[in-house]
Amino acid sequence: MIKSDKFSAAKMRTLLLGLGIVACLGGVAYSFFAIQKESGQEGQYSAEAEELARLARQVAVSAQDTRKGQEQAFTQLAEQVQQFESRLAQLDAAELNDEISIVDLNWQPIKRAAQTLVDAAPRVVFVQGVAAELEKNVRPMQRELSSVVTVLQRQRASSETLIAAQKAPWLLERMARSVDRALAGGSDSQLAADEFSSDAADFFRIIEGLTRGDELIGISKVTSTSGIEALSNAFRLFSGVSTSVDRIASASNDLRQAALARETIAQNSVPLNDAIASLQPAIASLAVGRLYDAGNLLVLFIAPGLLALGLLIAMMVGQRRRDLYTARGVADVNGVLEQISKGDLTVTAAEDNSVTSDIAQGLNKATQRQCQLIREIRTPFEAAVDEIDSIGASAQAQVEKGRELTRSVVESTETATEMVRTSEEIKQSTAEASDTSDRNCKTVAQGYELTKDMSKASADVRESVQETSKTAKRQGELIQSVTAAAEYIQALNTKISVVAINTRIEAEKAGEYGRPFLGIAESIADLLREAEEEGRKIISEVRMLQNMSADNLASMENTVGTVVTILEYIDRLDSSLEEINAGSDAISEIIRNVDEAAGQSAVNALHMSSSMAEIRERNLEISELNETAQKGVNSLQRSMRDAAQNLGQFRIDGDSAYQSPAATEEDVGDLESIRAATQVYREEEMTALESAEKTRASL
Amino acid sequence: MSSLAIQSLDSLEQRFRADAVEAPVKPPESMQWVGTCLSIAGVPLLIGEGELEVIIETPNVMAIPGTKPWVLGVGSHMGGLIPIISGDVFFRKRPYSGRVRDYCMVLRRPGFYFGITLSGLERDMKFPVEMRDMQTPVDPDFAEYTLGGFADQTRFLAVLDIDKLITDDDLSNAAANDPDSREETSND
Repeated sequence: MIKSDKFSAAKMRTLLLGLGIVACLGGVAYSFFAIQKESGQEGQYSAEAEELARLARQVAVSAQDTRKGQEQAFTQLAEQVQQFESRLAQLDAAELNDEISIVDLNWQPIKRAAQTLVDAAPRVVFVQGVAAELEKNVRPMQRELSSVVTVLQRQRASSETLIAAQKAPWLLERMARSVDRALAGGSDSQLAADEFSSDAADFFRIIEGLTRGDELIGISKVTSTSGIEALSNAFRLFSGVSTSVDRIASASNDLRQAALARETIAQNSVPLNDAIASLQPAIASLAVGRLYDAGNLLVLFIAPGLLALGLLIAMMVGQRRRDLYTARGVADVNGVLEQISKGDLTVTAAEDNSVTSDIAQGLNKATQRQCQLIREIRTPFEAAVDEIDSIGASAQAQVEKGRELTRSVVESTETATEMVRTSEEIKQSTAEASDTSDRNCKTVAQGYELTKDMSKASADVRESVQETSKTAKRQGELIQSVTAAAEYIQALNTKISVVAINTRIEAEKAGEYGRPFLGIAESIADLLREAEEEGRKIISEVRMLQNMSADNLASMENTVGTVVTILEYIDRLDSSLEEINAGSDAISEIIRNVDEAAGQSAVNALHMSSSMAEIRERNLEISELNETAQKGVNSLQRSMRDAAQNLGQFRIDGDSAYQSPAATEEDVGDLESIRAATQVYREEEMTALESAEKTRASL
Repeated sequence: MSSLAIQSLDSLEQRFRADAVEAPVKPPESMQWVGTCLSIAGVPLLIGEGELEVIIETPNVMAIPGTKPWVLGVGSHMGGLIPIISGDVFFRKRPYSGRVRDYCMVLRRPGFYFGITLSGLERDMKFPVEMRDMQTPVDPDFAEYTLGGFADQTRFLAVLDIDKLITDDDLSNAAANDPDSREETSND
């Protein structure tokens, strides 16, 4: 009943969520429809703005075209101004008031300038036409007037006449330029118009003078037929301009206004285009702006969208929660089954999950029954295991004892063998020591004879050195005498030097008379220099000889001292040799005692070897008994281990699963190793006994 | 004919030039500096020719009380008495207690006639004048009384200028109690 209620509630919730999502999508669709409707009006405004921009550009172009003076350009300008006005009036949207006012603000100067241009159109067209005619006729008129000048030159006319005739073409040229300047409407347009009027008056007077003669200015009449005809042609070509001089002069103000109007249009076209361009983004954001401003965006788009998203998430979360609940129950049952497959019967499956509660209840009952069965098998099995463990411990103790006994026997055998070997070595060493002692005695006797010979030789050396020392002292005395003689000679040299110097001084005092003495003094000085050098050399060598003699004397004294020291050493050596001789006798006595002790030690070692043989027999018997007990325990423990492994696969309470005694395998291994060790030691014993037999034989 | 003779003379002149031997060049005689080499206070010195009166053995002197330490006393010479000055004490400016100086040189200048003990005496020596060295440093105690010197093998022999020695204020006043003497000033 509860399950059916839960199921119907879930269906109702899903249905309600679906209806909510459909309602939100409907709201969004209505929003799209409303925006589409608004965007249609926005497209109309955008087309109007583009048209305004096009018209503004055309107005600027037409205003510049009016420079050519064509009436059609003025007409187009007026039409474009009117179209711009009407288009601007069609932009009637409250949201665009700011942008439209900016456009209108920039448009008004252009409009006024365009009106000025349109008002000045007749005069501009007229002046442009006159200028074009004048431009066209200037060259023919100049040609005609040139022919007039040629005629006048041929007729030898007066210079005033020739100057006037030559001035006429130049006046035509300047009038054409003045008209162009007035038409340009610059700041000097009025000046150009005045200049044009003045030049036209001059031109008329010159033509009049050439035609009729003018005595006031000195122009004579042209009488030649060809000249008259040329003048007539020129005046006829100028007639169109001559009737318009006053109108051109009065039109300068209008032309200047027209030029200013063109400049105004050109200057304001750029800001007008910018203002129109700023209309486009305003129009584009018109519909979206409305939506933003009115808060409709939240109502039409965001709120339904958020609501639909929330409903969708709620549906997904509910479905996910149901899946997790079912998966958790299945995972719980799977975990319990996995534990049971591993032998753990203490686990229980959770029965609170509505999907898997039946399966969990069945599993729990089955595991409880299996636990009860295993617990009934385990009680007698544990008692048998305890008994076998006590037997195993007893066998282990016997094995340990046997191992210790075997180790002791082996060590005793090795010790006895070593003792026999040591005794043999001691005996050999004592024999060698005895021989060495005899040789030492002989060597000491020889050393004693040598010391006597050395003592005698040293005494001879001492006497010889003493004789040599006496001779050296005598040499020193002679050298001292020679040194004194050399120093006396040096003193004499000095006195001779004094005599030579004083002789030279006195000879100088005697002047010319003392010159022979001067030569004598110089000769004495030269001889003295040689004598000083030789005397200095003799003194140096005698001093060296004196030093060498002193060194020899010191060396001989050292030699005497060394000989005395050698004699002392010989005496000490003699006494040392006597002590060595006495020590050798004592060592011989010690060697004999050691030889006797080594023989006694060999006898004791043989006795110990026989005792070891008896111990070996007893150890063999114990090893056989251990082997029998080991086989029985080994078989029983193997059986118990198999049973324990089978039972240990099940876990029936909170403790860990039952484990068979891990030491069982190790104990069996130990027993086998003990048996193997016993066999090895028996062979080693035999080796030791064999070597002992050899030692005994050698003894 | 005349041109041929002139050509012959030219060729003869050229041949003579080619065969002629240059006249031997006589080396310029270098002027010799002559003087006596002696030592004062262990410093070998040279005294120019004509500056020495005579060299004598140091006579027995009689001490003069109230004189400076470098005045050994007065001794007899040539029938008169001359003051004997210890060269060691005078130049080294400290007492001397070494070997007895056997010789002394006698100097005579206007207003001066005295002997100075010598520590050694060698002989008369000659050196080329252009070899005189004025740059090599001399023993500081003798530097103010010497005027250059000559190199003799490995040693340098300074020339003792007797005129500088005579004009020395210290030598010209031997009185020990003179307040203007240098030694009194230094003692103060």
